[in-house]
Amino acid sequence: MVDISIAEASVEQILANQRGLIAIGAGLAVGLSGIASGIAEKDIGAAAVGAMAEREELFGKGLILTVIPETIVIFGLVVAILLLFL
Amino acid sequence: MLKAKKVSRAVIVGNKKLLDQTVEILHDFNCVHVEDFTEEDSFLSMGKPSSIASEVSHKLIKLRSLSNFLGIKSKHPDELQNEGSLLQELDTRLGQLDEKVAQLTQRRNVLEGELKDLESDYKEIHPISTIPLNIEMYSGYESISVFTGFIHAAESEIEAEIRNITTDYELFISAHNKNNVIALFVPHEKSALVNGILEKFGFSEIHIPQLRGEPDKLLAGMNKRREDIQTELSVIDDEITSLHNQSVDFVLSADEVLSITTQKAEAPLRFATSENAFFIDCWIADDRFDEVVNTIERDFGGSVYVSKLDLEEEEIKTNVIPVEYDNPGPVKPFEAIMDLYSRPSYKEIDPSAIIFITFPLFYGLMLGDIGYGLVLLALGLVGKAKLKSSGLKPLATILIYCSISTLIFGILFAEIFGFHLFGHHSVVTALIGEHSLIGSMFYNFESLPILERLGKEDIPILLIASALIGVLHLNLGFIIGFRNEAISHGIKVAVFEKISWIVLQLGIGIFVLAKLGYIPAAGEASGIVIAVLGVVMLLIGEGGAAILELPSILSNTLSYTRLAAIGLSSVGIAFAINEIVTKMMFPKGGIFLILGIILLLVGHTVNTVLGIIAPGLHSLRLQYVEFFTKFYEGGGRKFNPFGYDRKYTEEK
Repeated sequence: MVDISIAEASVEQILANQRGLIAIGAGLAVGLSGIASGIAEKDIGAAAVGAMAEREELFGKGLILTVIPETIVIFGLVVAILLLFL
Repeated sequence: MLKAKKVSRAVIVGNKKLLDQTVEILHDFNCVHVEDFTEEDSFLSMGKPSSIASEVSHKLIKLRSLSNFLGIKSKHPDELQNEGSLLQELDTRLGQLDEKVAQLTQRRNVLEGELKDLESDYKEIHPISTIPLNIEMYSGYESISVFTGFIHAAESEIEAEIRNITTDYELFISAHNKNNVIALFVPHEKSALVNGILEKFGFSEIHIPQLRGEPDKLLAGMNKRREDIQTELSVIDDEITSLHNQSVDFVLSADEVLSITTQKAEAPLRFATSENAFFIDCWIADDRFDEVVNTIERDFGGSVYVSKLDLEEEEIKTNVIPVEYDNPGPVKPFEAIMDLYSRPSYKEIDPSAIIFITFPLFYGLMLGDIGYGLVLLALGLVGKAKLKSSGLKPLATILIYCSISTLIFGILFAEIFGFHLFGHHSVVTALIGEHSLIGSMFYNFESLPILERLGKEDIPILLIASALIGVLHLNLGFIIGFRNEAISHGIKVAVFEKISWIVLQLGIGIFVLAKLGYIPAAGEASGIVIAVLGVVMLLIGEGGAAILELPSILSNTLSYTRLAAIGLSSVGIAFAINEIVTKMMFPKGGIFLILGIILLLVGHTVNTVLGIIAPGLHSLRLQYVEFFTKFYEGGGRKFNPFGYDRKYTEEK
């Protein structure tokens, strides 16, 4: 294993490391918030399908309720975009 | 536009003898929503269906079962049938059709039954076909028991065991699909013991059908018969298809005529009647009210009377008034989106016309790509031409609107399938070379993109712009909410409940601008004061629980950043596919050229599908969740006119 202590690392290497960490952070932001909205949506979705089986007109309401937690992943995506591009 | 069609409640009263004629007239108008009469607590009774009702509905049921058998589906009408001539020959043609279908069904059932028997016999005889015995030899003995079936054992094993019981036996054994098949003949009195032995070897019996002859010949005969039956069945299928083609026009138009007749004949069930009079409780669209009244009064010379009732406050509040949309043609498809959520109530603003603008706008802003826009436009046009279901047609039209908006934003962003259209990375230049006239034109064109989504610089602008669009959209919602509240609960309530939110945002806005240094620092304090004022108004309007709702103004606004984010994710996928293919695969040449093209096709197809679903859902969600919650109540009843939209027939 190559051991690069910070003192010996060149500026390029440090920048590359930082870019890598930013990318990891962005990935975590999208991935974790995606899991979170998935967990939130699974129960709502199941209940919405159940409700629709009883009354088909509830599709609109079911859709809305199901996509409400989608905001979580959108926030994650926005954070990732901010991390990557700012 | 923006409001439901005006309707008035009316009661039509007349002599019972004139009921049928009145029904005819109302049915032709097709603009009267009849309220069903309920007998409870009423001194009036429900009307009786006209005498032909049961006969006609009988015919209709017969026709529908025939139509079901022939697999007739609604289609685009070729030419309109005349109702009168159709009615004249309806009984004879219906009878003929019924007879033909009955014959075909019977023939088919007989053949299918025979085929089934044949196949089960075949299954039973096939395993024993290698045993050199005629089928009749397996049964009909008085003192011999026969065991025929599959067994998991070799000949020697079985014989060894049986010899212990009796030497008086005959065993035939042959292999069949990894199993052994045996035919074992033993004296009757030993059968119980033999049965025990065979069970030990996992014996499973084959039931031998009562037939005669050599198995091989029987099987060959069966195969032949099976082929014959199948040919005959396919002949019957052809006959059904040709019968379908012959009778499709008749069935569809007869269905229509009979439905109309039934509808008219059963209409009195919805009316109230006394001994000599009938009363129809109904809603009539205002724009045709006079026409209906004049026709009825002219035709009956005063024996049938229409009286207009005033709308009561109660009726307006409880959503009993049936709602008919009143939108110009291009906005109509968006009524489907409204109905998906809930039809607007009579007094509130019908936002279809607003969605007509904002839905495609948001969609285009998210997708914003010339390539995908063209693909969607093609899909929408094909869908509009091919789709017959009235439920899906509006969606195709909406897709066309969205694709146009996508194209416009695609040009503004200068993107085509995630490639640059103009500038130094222009895909056109890369394809046809920098030195050609067109290539250099694209290379040097710099007015577009207005916003560059493929680079880093413009992304903060895009995010801020989308949040600002959100602010505008939300406040439009508050303003409409103000109008709705003002009408139903008065100006004061409306100001406290809706304007308070706008005041709050104004305060926050001034504060932020002052903080960022765009306006003098005094703005900070006044911003806070205005925001607090907004909160106080809100508390008066909605009570303490409103505190919990305060953060929603932030989350709602931020929610609009999806306009930028979804777009970037779609661009990101397209960009990644393009980079992989053009930078990593194409330079290697050979097989990678082909693989690269496949990846391009598959990748962009997937992205197109995602590009329909994601922007569509999110654009819808922004309407339903963020926008509608500011003002929309819904729950309106559908205005369901008494009448029929003829498709296949014309009146006599």
